[in-house]
Amino acid sequence: MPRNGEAGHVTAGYGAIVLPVSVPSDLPAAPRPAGSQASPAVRLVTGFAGFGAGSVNLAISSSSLASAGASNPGLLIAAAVAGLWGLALLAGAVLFLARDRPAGRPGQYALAAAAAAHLGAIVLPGFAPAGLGLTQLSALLLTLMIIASLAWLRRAEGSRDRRLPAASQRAGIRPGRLLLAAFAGAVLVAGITTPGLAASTAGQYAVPHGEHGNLSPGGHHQH
Amino acid sequence: MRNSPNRLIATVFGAVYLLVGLLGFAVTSGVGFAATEGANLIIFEVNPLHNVIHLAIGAALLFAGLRGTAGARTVNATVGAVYLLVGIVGLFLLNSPLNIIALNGADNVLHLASAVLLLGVGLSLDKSPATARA
Repeated sequence: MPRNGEAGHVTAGYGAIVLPVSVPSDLPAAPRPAGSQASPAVRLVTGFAGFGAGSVNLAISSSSLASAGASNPGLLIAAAVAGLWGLALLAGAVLFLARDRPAGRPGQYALAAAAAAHLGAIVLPGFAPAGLGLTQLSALLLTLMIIASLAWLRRAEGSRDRRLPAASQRAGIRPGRLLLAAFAGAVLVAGITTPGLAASTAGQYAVPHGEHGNLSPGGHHQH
Repeated sequence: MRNSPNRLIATVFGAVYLLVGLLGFAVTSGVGFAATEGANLIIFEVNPLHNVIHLAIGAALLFAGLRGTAGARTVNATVGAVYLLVGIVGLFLLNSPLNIIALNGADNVLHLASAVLLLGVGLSLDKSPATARA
């Protein structure tokens, strides 16, 4: 135990702020901000939602491609936009998790625009390919989840900057609890993503474990 | 190991996948290897091919989890990325056996959840040299 006035070493192992840091041991015990325990879990769930939203947008792209003929360039454009946005979401989620690179202002505007587009596709008939209501709803929920959790993280980071060094706050997080929270978040994201994927055109052809060989559309719908 | 989320999750998931693979063989006697008509293990419809895949993934995760943090990170991220990538490619190959992810079933929810969890934890946690030696 360091004596009064000596530096105590704290190792924090989560996220980008991870190196051992020296914390004077005679600092008064400051109250731990509420966000410090949950931030790594929320960060993970944000990334999960990015993977889910990216997958669902790619399913929308695939469905638009499948129903677009040569006579319908509008659907081809919609497929390209949804596909590029889906890839951007996947890449953004990887960057966000691997390098802790948050969405900048353009990213936030793009997420808001995507949420508005998904909402428009649900409530305005003819705005998007028909029959994708559940897929669009799934994409909308996942996009809103990303927007909300990014806002929560920005707020938590802001309040943390005014209190303790980040590493000293993260040191108290238990990996078991973090992983339990992350698992719950992953199940939530997968529970929203899976019905959205199943409601797309790919879901009509998807191969259940016990029905290989029967590839007729509509034969496997389980929703 | 308890200080590293990657080692912890690789060990736990590895053990669970190994168990599912072993129990799967108990319920799939008489089922064709790659096959067509599987048997139910709780909510998972499995056949011997799935059992082998579960055993291989479980062994890789468990080995990496027991070995060290760097290996656990790599295996976690690789397993998650491969599953997600196969599923996404399958969305565009409608009549392909790769079209496996777009099914509204509890087993698909769990598979997708484990894929994003392994990929996310592998990418995001245990980045420091300090915890890499944990």
